[in-house]
Amino acid sequence: MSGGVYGGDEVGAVVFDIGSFSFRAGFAGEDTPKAEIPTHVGVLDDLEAAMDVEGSGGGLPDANSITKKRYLIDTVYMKHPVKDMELSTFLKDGMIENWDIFEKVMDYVYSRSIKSESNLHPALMSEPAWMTKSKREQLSEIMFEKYNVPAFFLCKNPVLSAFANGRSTALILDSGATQTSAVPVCDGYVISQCIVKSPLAGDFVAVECKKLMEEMGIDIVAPYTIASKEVVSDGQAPKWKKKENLNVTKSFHNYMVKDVLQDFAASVVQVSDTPFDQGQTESMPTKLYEFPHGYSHDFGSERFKVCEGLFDPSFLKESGGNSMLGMGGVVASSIGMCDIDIRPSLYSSVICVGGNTLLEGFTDRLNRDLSNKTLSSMRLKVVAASSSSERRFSSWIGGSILASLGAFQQMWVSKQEYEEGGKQTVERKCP
Amino acid sequence: MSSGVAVADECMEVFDEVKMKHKWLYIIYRISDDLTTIIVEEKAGHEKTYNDFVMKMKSAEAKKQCRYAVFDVRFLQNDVPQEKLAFFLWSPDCATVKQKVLYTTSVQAFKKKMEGITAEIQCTDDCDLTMSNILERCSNKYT
Repeated sequence: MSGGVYGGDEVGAVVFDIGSFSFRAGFAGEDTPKAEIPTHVGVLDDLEAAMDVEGSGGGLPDANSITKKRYLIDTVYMKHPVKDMELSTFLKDGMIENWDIFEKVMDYVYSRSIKSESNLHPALMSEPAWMTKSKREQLSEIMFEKYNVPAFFLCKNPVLSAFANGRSTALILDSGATQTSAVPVCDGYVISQCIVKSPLAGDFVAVECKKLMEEMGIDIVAPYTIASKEVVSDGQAPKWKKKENLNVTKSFHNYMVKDVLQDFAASVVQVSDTPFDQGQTESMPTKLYEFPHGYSHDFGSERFKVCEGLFDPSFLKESGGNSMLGMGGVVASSIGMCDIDIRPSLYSSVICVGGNTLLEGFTDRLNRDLSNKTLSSMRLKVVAASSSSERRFSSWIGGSILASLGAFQQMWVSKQEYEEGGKQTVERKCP
Repeated sequence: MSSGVAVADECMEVFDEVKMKHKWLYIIYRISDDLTTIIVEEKAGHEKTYNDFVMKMKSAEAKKQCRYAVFDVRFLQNDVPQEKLAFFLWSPDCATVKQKVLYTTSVQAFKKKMEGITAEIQCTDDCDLTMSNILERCSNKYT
């Protein structure tokens, strides 16, 4: 089995990258994924309820006829208020936990995003660095048995991110929605015993923003509850009407509120260059933010305060905060566990990826914190792609290019190899 | 982790000439245009200098490409002459993502074939390429 089986460069491989916030899918060789859909899906229990929304929504046509549960996938269907729809995710700790929902999402992606038959395209999938052996085997089983892919490859996402940034040895700081991880990669292999994880990530920033709003007495109104609103001047009480009888579930409501908070974090919140100091940040320019219900407010030092906990967990009021590691701490302790010979190489390429690193000032502050933790003779370089898509999709992009390389075709696990060697083949061929 | 890119026999022959006979000052390797094999781009004799080497690296950077290289580093440490081989992975920040992925995924298989490399230097910008950095990396095992 070699390149001959697949011919030239163009194999039309598809690349999947699953994150805790969104699922990226697209064709190899392209520079951005074709589709980015939320990892959360709406679940409806009742068949009757599913029939009711048929006219207004959509979703998978075959899902409700086969199973009792109906899944609403993708932004359009999921972010629409539906009575009794629970939102849930198929991931836990970055790994696939609920295989039923995962398969539903894959069905959807193949039919709506890829728009092609799964048996025509080799599939490359990214996985977290701590993926267990049994999950890898189960995943390859599903891909080969259910989707009949002609070839399959699994690659760890920090490795792909390192490749996309032109390094084979690097420390990947991946700060996503649910967690932040520091993963050392050496010569293209993950050093798995030195991975350090922290729950301080995008969702944490959203929670801090929510606390801030509560302190300031601003209620967060998700757009779906607003029937109408009027324009009011800055700082005035909002005038808006609420939609009645929505009967949505708590999980849906929380998700939608988090959506607003995420937007707030992306547009207003900034990481302070130096450890937070009330007096200093008050002299910084303020930023105006208009909430969905029409209220606008000027944010001054608050916009620095909310994310300070990311870098300095002792800043948090909760007593539990002290035991957690900030961004600099995660990186330093991960590198500290590695062999002393490779530490200089890791410090000279600390790569920031993940949506949370897009917070304004994130990399500057990380650079500052790390230079305080290292000897001055250590060459330190914090690398971050400038464009937001390159940072959010770095592992997808790495996978996309890898899968499109002509020479790489001999590395795939082919269907034939899978049939001969069983599901252990993946463990053997994909490092 | 390997990309399946092959290494041409010539690469290892030239490498042995540097290692055993010090015939060349440096060798620059690149991946062939059809992206299947690592080939020798340039072998430079001892009339060249480190600056020439840096110029070559910069010209690859201008083309948004990456390179591999082996440099025969000679220096005095505590008045004892030292000869060390340094391996370079040159992936400038401005290179295309395709080049970066191609070179970084193939480097492992290539390096494995080379024995006797003292320092493996991953270079991404000008300050990685400075002579002081190279010397530091080649000599630090003896300090």
